[in-house]
Amino acid sequence: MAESIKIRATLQGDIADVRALMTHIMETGMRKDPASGQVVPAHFIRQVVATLNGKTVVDAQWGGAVSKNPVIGFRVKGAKAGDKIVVKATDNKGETLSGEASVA
Amino acid sequence: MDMFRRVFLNKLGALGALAVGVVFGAMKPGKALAAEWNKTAFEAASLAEALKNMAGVGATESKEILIKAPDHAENGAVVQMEITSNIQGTTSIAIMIEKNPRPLVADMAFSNGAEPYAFLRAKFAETSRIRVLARAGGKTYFATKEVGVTTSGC
Amino acid sequence: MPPSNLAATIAVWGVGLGIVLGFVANKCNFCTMGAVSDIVNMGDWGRMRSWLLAIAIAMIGTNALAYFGYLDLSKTSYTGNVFPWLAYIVGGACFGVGMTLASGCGYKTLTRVGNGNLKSLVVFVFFGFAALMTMKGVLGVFRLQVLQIPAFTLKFDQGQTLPALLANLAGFDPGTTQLATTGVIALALLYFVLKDPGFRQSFDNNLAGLIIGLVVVAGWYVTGYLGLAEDPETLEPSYFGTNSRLAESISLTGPLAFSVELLSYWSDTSKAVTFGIGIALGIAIGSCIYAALAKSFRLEHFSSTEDMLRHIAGAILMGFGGVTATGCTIGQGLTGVSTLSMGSFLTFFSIIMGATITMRIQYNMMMRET
Repeated sequence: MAESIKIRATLQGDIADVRALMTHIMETGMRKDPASGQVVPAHFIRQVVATLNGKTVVDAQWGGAVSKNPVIGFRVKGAKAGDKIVVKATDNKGETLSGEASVA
Repeated sequence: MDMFRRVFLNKLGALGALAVGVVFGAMKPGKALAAEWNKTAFEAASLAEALKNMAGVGATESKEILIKAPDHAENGAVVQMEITSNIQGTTSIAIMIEKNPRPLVADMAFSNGAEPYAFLRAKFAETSRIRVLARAGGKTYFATKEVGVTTSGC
Repeated sequence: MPPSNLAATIAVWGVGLGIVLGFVANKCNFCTMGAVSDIVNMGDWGRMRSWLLAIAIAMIGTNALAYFGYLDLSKTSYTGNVFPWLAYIVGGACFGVGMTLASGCGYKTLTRVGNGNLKSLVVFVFFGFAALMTMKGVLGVFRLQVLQIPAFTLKFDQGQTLPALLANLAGFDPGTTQLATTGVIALALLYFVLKDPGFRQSFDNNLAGLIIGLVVVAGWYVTGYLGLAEDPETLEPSYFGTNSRLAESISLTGPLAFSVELLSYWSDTSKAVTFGIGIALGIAIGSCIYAALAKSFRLEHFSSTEDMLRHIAGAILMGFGGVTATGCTIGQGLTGVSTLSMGSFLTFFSIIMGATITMRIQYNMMMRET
């Protein structure tokens, strides 16, 4: 199951400013469900890898404290219009999300 | 004859599987294969432990690390932060929220032209300092910024 | 449009709409507190009919916007699924008492400030400060830990608007229920308002009701449609230019608190003039423009210690009550009610109850003195 990540990559000079929005509950695994009193099991994105034209630019590891529906913003120098950005995220259950966009 | 063929085919199959395993193992999709998730560091329950696991003990304070975050956050569940490291040769940035039950929030590595810059939103358990570790040239630097968490009204 | 520009545009719209509100209130003597006191002291329903006319028009326009997709009614502070009924009642009642003591609610206070009334200027400061204290400060602790605890809160998963509740109970189609409910209530209000020949002949009352109702609808359009755009930092659809980061329309409690906050923290770049603050500013300006044209501008001051204490106490009660009830006579009693939120109806009645009781007590005290 690969849900899509919304990506916007805008060029500012020769730097691409990239924003990627992922839909994910980001449950820390330490929260008690008020209705049942049970601890809600951890379910959060652990890894986010971003590539530009196939080359890895960002390799991020996350904990559960990243906010729900996480956004990641990063910048790549030396980018050109039309360059392809791909972002892949994997959570602790092995589920993946991915998305791609061209630098505009 | 049959038994020989069966044994032979079995062994061939096993050899094939082994060969496939070797090929894929050695193939190493290279930089697209991400680093293993640092469980010990992310599950460390205190700042001291987290710092130990991230080689952050004894880091030098640096004014070249910029942390842009609100002085007072209305909603502790979504606190926006923008981190920039102006230290030459920064290869990675780690973000911790000191008073969180698990302080380590993110560890990000940059390569192939990516700038040591990150925009992120994180959960704060209470008023706390953000501690950023930046790694450059084999050394670790740090900076902090306090974010107050209040309740919001209508 | 870049986000900072959009937020600024929405704020400017706030000032513009506020100017209309201030001018109309001063010219037509529109006053929610006056509406109640006219009934209690003179049996005159004129200004109450004016308020109800504004509500009816706002109700129709707001639900039309929502029905045709220009406004997401779930994205307001009046229509959420949390229903802290005790807070609505206590907050509303406190506000009703407060506005009676302070010679008028937030809307009237700003209108009087524009006309030169220094008493209302004092009310503005105490109202804003008390509201801020109730939002994030010392009074907020009481609000959260006593009034708004789960024991005094109901949850409605589908939101607390009347159509949503009816549709859920009876299994009707939400859209049709919304149109039907709006139609029935608005038409009943319009009938009540217009059946009185005295009201029909009152140009001021009709004008005020009509314009103010339309401004509420415009406020929803501006904050809920024009102000909705993708935030370039987070890629999420966001409401630009409002303090609540939701669609807001016209309210005065939050704006008065945020005006005091903005003046205090001007150097904090994350704080800016918002739609709500623009409305508050606009009302004072619009009222002042009318005052200049009608030559009614007059610096007024407290006549006695008792007068001053009364106004200060009233201001604090309004600030506390308004925040606790999620809105005041305009925020809940006009804008909130336009969304058909049950919490708004409850607050509206609580405010009127609080004001009526206070007025009766004041009347009796005055009668006893003579």
